Amino acid sequence: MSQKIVLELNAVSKRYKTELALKDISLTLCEGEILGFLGPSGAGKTTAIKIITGQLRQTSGEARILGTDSENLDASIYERIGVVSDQSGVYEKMTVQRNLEIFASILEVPKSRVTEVLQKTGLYEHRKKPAGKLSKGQGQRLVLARAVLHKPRILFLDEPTSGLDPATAVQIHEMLLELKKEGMAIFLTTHNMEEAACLCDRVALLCRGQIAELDSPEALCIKYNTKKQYRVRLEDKTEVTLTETPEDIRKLSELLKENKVVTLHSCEPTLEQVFLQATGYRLNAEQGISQGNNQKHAGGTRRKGVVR
Amino acid sequence: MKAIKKTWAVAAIKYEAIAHNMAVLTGPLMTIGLVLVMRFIYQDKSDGIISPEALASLLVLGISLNMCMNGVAMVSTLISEEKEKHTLRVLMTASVTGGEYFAGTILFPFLLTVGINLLFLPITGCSVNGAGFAVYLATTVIGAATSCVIGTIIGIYAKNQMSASMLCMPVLFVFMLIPLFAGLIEGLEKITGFLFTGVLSEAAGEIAQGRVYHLGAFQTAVLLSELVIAVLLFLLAYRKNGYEKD
Ligand SMILES: Nc1ncnc2c1ncn2[C@@H]1O[C@H](COP(=O)(O)OP(=O)(O)OP(=O)(O)O)[C@@H](O)[C@H]1O
Ligand SMILES: [Mg+2]
Repeated sequence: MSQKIVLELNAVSKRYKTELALKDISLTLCEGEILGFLGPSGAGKTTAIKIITGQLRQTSGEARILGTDSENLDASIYERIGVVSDQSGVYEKMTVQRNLEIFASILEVPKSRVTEVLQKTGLYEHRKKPAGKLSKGQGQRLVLARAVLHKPRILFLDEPTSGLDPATAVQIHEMLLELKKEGMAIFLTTHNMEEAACLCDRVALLCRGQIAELDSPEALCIKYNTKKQYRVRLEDKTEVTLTETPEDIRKLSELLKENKVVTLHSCEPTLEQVFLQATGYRLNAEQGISQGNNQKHAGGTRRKGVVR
Repeated sequence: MKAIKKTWAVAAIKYEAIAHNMAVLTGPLMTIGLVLVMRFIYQDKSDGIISPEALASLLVLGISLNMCMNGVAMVSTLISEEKEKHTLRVLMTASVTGGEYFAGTILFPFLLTVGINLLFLPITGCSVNGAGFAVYLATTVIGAATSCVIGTIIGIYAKNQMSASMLCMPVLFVFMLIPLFAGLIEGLEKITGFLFTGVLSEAAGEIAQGRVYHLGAFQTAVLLSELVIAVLLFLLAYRKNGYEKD
């Protein structure tokens, strides 16, 4: 990629007393790129963010952020990056606007930027409310607004939409895409596959502290599309799934020639299924790591009415 | 310049936290109120004229309360409140350093503790001369600094406001109650001289009774060494854990 690399991890590992939480993590992040760290609970996502942002020391390996080794970071790095942890709080008794103004003065940002960010996050009409009275989604937007006040080069988000309803999550996604357009690099963690698929330029599939795959969601889905299948809906409203056998291909071309096909879809696996195949584990927000049922999900396609 | 701005921003946060938190505000209000009430009780009992001994015990009461409630307890509550609400980590990842946070946090509690101690003079109606006032001010400033640092140490170890007040208990027991009961219980009189609050109380008592009080070498050593020990303990705890353990 021709863009500038802002973050670089090289074989980073982290051991908590006995437990190996991260193992040999290597990756890069470029300007204007959204990188998703995808993994079930306990995979090591938060640990990774803490190490990169200098809140935690790695056991081995090297992390460079904006050209500085993460072991040599001091507080001034936070003037150039934004961090939203999985439990960032707000000053509940202060108003929304005051919350931002405090951080504007810490980060030496002009007051006009506060108004700008309030408007962009749709919080302008709520600016006089105490922050503790905001709804969950509004609160999350405030946390995000605070993190981008100083237009950071890299934004770190630890599960920015966990616990939000789909509509609010979409609002957050739109904000992130806009920030990306402005050239901000975004590193986010999530255990939501759909979120990763629609938001991220590249995703790292993380399982038990190891990266199983790192590529764009599309590329991963294609890579794991081992048994190519096509779902065809016919004029008579029946649905058939065709594979790549010569027989099926002949059948498909006949159907097409006879103009009987209403819709035709290729059935690549979803990111969820890719994760299962790549790691052998299923993503499950509630239960954490759980052994996937390979039988049921093998191939990752619906087998309904295969035409013989 | 940047550091001063950030320190001031933290102080502004703490100012609002003090002003809006009734649990924190009761400290200073109670201290002043209690001394005022005691003064009127003493006055009533002795037909309007307070004896120097009564005046001295009023000051000792006020100072012990003030140092512990508004120094130790307030600072530790302020820090643990931020941990509870998950805003401490946010500040630290918004480029505030440990030193800036420390200075910003203790600024108002420190000024408040010194201010209230000075306020005790007019409240109790104690008249001091220049030299007496200088000793009173100097011991007050060192004492207030010591209690703010002790409050910070407790703040480092406390996870939330509840555990902060638990951890404050033994500290208050030693530094507040021992000087307070030193006049009543014989054994305590020997110990109180080794405590900074004890030295403060002793100095205030002498001054209140119109005697010229000179801090001896021993008292000075107690005051300064306890400040230094507190600072060292703070640095040790901070080096080990930061404000919040991971
Ligand atoms: N301070 C710690 N001490 C010991 N072990 C820890 C510590 N922090 C995390 N771990 C362990 O490291 C592993 C990774 O934890 P981490 O918090 O990074 O997971 P995560 O991917 O963020 O999970 P979640 O989606 O639930 O937030 C877990 O098994 C966890 O128990
Ligand atoms: Mg996490």
